[in-house]
Amino acid sequence: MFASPVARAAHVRVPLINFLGKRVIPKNIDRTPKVHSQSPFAELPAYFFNYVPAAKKAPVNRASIQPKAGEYFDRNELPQRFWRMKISAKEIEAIESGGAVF
Amino acid sequence: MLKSFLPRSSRTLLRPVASGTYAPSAFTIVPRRGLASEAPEHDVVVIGGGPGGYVAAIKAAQEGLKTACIEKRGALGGTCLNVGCIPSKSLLNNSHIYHQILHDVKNRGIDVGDVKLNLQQMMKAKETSVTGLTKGIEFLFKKNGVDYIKGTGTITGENEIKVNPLEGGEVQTVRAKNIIIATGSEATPFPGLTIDEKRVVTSTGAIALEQVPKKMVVIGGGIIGLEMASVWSRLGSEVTIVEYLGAIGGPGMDADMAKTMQRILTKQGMKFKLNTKVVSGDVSESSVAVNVEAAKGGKAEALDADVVLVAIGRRPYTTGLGLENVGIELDERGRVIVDSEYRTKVPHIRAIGDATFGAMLAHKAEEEGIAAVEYISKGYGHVNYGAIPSVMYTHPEAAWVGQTEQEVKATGKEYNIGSFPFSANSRAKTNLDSEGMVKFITDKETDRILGIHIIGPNAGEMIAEGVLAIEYGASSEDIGRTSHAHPTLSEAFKEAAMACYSKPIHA
Repeated sequence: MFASPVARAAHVRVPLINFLGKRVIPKNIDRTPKVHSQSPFAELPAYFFNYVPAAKKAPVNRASIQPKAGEYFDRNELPQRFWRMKISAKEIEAIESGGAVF
Repeated sequence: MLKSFLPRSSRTLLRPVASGTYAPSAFTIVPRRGLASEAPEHDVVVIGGGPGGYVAAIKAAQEGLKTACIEKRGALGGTCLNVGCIPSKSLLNNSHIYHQILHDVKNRGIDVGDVKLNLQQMMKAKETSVTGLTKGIEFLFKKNGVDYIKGTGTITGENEIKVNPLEGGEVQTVRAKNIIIATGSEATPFPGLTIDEKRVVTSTGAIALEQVPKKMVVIGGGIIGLEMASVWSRLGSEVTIVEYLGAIGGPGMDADMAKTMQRILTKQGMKFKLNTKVVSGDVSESSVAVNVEAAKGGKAEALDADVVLVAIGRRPYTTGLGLENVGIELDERGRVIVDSEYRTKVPHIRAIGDATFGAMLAHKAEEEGIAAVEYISKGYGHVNYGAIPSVMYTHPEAAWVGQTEQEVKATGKEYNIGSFPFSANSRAKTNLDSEGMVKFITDKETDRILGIHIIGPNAGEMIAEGVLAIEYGASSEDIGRTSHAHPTLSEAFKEAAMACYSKPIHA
C-alpha cells in the first residue's frame, strides 16, 4: 500500500529545533531595569529607576574612578617626602604615657 | 579624598624634624600611623571565589577587564568545591563502590575476601579531590590574569572594598569600577538545635564524620539530606529521614519521581517519616534525641541518634559584606535584590548565585557569573531559568529539567506524558542496574517539551540532552527521530520521547 500524495504532504515533519546561526548581540538593547525572572516581587523597588538614564547609555562602567590630577586618595600615593614621619620609640612612649614625665 | 596640595613654600613644614619633636601638620586629614596599601583600580572585583564568583572572574579577565577576586576561605571553589558538591560526590562514589562490593559483586561473579571500610582513607581520597580542584582554579586565575586576593572583603563605598587579609596585616583597599557579589550561602540552622559539626551537623560536618554513626537522623528530605543519608546508610548507619512535606526531593521534584525514589531508597534501607515535623532536640552525652510529631499535629515520638544532620535548606550569606554602607537592600529571606541584569540599587554593583534570587545551584551561579560579566562588557547576557537542571546523586541518580507534571497541570495546559523504564533498556539490564525511568511531559498541541524527569543510572549525565532540548525548544519527536547509540542508557531517553508522540519500540 502506498500513501497518497495528500497523506504524504500531511506527514511532513517540521522540527521545532531551528538553527539559530551565529549568536549576535541585538543592536537595540533595552537596559531599563526589569524584574529578575526569579524574583518573588511583581515589580522593582522605585529606586532602581534612578539609574535608568545612566543605564541606557554605555553598558560598561568604564569611567575612571581614579582621582583627578592633583587629587589623591591617600597621603602615601604622594611622593615620599609628603608621607607621615615615622614615630620614634621615645615619641610613642611619650604618647602612651599621656605626657607624664618620669 | 585629599584635595591637593600646598604651595611649594609650605612644604618645608612637612620635612622631617629632629627626633622627639612634633612636626606641625599642614594636612587636614586625621593623622594615623603606618603606611596604607595602595588602592589599585580594577574594572571588575568579584567578592567570593565560589562557582559563581570564580567563573565570573575568569570570564571578566577573558573579556579583557582588569579583574580581582576576593575570597576569605583561603581556597577557591566556595562551598561547592570545598565542603559541598565535590567532597560529597567523592563520598557518594566511594561509598557506592564499598556497598556494591559488599552486596552486589557476588551476583556478578566476583568473589571478594574480607571487605573492610577504611573511613580515614575514604576521607583522604575526598580531600585529595578537593585540593586538586581548588589548586586548579588558582592555576586558571594565574593563566587568565585574575588577581587573587585572600581576605574578607567589605564594601565601604560605591567603588571601594576594604580587604582584611587572611594572613593578617594591614587592611588593603581595592577600588573597582564594577563589583560582583558572589558570596554564596550557608546552611540554615534549626531552631533549638545547636550545630557543633560533630553530633549535630550540617552538610559540612556530615562529610567529615570521624566514624560511622550507628544511628543517624536527617532533618529534611531534600537533595542534600538524601545524598548524605545515602552515604552513611551505605557505610552502615541506620538512617531515618524526617521530612515536613508529604514527599521527598524538595519542591522541584515531580511527584511520580519522588514516590519512585522513596520506594527505591526505602529498599536500600533508609527509613522515611514524611509529613512529620521536628519539635525539639535534646543533646545528651551519649546521644541526640530528636522529638518529632505529625506535621498537622499528632502523636509525638522521640528518635534516638548518634548524629543528627540538619538539612532544611540554605540561606544567603552576606554577613560582613558592608551592603549597608552603600544602601543595598536584602529581601525578607536575606537575598540581595537585583534586577534582570543582576544590578543592585547601585547599578555597577551586581549580585549573582546563592546570594540572590533563584535556585541555589552551582551551575546556575556559573551561568549568572558569565551573564553578569557579559552585561558589563557587552551590555547583553543570557540565562534561561527554564532550562536549569537539577541532579540528585543518589543511586540511582535523579535528574530533571523544566516543569513538573503538577506545575504543567496547574497552568491548565493540555499535555502528553511519555515514559520508559530502564528495566526495558538493554544496557541497563546488562549492567544489572535497571531501576528507574525517563518521563517526558510535552505540550499536547505543539509537542514542545515542557519537562523531563529521570531516575536511573547516570541520570545526571543524561539530563544534559534534555536541557539542550528545552533550551532550543525541541519537540519529543525531534528527540525520538534522533539516532541514539545502541546499546546505551540514552536509548531509554529516546524511547520515552517516542512514547510521547507515538509508541516506544521496546515497551
